[in-house]
Amino acid sequence: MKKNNNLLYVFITILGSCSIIFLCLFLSYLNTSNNYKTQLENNYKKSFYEVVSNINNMEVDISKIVATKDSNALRELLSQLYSNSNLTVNNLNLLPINYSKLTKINSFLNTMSGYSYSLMNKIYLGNDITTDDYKQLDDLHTTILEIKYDLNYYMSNLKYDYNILDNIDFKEEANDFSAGVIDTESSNAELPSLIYDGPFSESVLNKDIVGLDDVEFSQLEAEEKVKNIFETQNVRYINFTQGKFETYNFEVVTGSRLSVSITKKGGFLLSITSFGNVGENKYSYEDGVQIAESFAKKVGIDNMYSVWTQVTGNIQYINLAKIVNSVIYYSDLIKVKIDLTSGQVVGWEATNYATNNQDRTFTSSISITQAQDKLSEILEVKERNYCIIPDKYVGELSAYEFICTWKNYTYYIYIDSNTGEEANILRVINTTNGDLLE
Amino acid sequence: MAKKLLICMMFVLCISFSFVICFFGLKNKDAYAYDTHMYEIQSRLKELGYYNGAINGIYDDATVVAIKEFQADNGIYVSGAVGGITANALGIYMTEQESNDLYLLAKCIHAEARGEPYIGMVAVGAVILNRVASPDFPNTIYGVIYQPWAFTAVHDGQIDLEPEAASFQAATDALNGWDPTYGCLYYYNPNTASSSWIFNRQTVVTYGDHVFAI
Repeated sequence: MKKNNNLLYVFITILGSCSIIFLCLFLSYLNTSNNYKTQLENNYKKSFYEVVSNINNMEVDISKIVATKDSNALRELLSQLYSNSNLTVNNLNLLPINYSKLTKINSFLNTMSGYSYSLMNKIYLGNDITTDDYKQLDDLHTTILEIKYDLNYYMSNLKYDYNILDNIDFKEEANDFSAGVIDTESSNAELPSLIYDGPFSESVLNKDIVGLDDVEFSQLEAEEKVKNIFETQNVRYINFTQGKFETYNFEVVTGSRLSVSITKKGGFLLSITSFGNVGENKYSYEDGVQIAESFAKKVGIDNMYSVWTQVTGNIQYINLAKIVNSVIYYSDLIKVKIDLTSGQVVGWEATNYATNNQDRTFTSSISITQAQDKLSEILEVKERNYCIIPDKYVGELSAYEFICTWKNYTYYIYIDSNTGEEANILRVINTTNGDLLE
Repeated sequence: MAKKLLICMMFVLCISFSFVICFFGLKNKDAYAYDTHMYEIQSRLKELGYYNGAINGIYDDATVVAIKEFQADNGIYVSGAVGGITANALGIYMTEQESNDLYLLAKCIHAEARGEPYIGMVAVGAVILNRVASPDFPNTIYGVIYQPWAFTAVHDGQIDLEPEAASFQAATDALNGWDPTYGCLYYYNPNTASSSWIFNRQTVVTYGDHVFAI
């Protein structure tokens, strides 16, 4: 009996000690948890204050733009408006509001940023702000003013012991906090739609597809085409895509398992998607380029040549562009992915080609030498080319390409062959994933 | 009586111990890092006779052991990780910049679409990039991925799982322009989706368990 009692005391002691340890750990956890909660609350509040501050600044910026005639002052104000629009989007999307509730206000702010950018460009080119622009700025000001009033009213709540975290249930997609802020959005149901050429404009977002033949292919005709391209009967129809491109989708087994899409309109090989093998590379970089160019010919697309390539592990990515009469058509890019362990084409992405490919001519008002004179003097020009490049304002334009170096850096600079302006500058950046152009 | 008390106490102790384990968590150490440098590092280690495993780009235990042996033999601090000094000693050129966007995109694809067909993984990456390009969403990859409630696997922390080779390749494909959804901004699993509004979006295509919509 005494032995049992001793055992009992030992266990009571162990249990007591454990309880004290658990309590200490639990209190420590609570303390850490409260610290995290405070930091999160602070971050949410900071983002919200910044959203309100940015919106207030935007309202003032627009009202000043309307009242200013001087082009330098206008450019500075538009630059502030552009910057404030982007900052608002960043901060707004850090708040605990369901993403689906923010699409409308994000769209408004991003379009405002694109619009201010396009106005900056307009002034830079020496053009005046038109009556239509002033009308659009007036509409924007009315909208931003409503948002400003709503947000400032909501913010007054935050001043009196309001905790954002207390009004959020992370398991629920809707919460009291987002309901308050989203009211701000829904009260402005009539967000103005802007007409302009530039980023996020309708003409850029809804570009017509001009590179496909009009003839419509049936599923069987498309399947036959796939069998011919891959020289196999091992082709299985999967499903149909009903989007911007209508495609028949197949699975083809030729060593790798390939997902292949053929457009209904024109029966064009739009894409191949597949996971490349892992193993020792048996094909070289040069082999990969040759395989890609030959595959394009086999598909029925002539004059496609490698303009950029990047090797990542066992995979080589190759950009093929149409080159005719020494003009490179960058708008008609096709991307090809080669598995260097098997030498097989495991990827093909031709939406740019299908969207843009048509007959067009390289035009110029200045010579390539005149264009070269516009480059920075510190650059050493290694190569010069004629090309057609995509452009966010006018769809595409004729340009001179200069491949230049400075220190160990390589640049691709594009000068508009008609206006002489620098249309784009890209630098080769060596990353862990290969060389990128940014 | 004392025996029953003892059993009860043992039970309470077991429950408490389990509680502590669950409460403070045991971290899974099985995840392997995948790095595009690893191919080169493994090849070089193999040439030098330190590594006999597969050249697969996976930073696994065998690779760590080989790196440690190489570091010990060359008087470099033995860490098992390849920094600038080890890379120089191996004769490997280190790149100027990490591909952070690629890594984050691969993590999100792995968290959201592991187990899906490869084209479905690329499609998830493409939806993220389509959102970056759309005015309706933030303008950066991290802005889109970390938008509140946008991705279940980000919301519940699965995004922190280490991505596999297929996720990296799918992310690379998506960044190189592959978009099997042709511009979709949404996807959902019809068996698990809880938001009714998502079912009202226009369906474009289905890959595996995911329906892609605009």
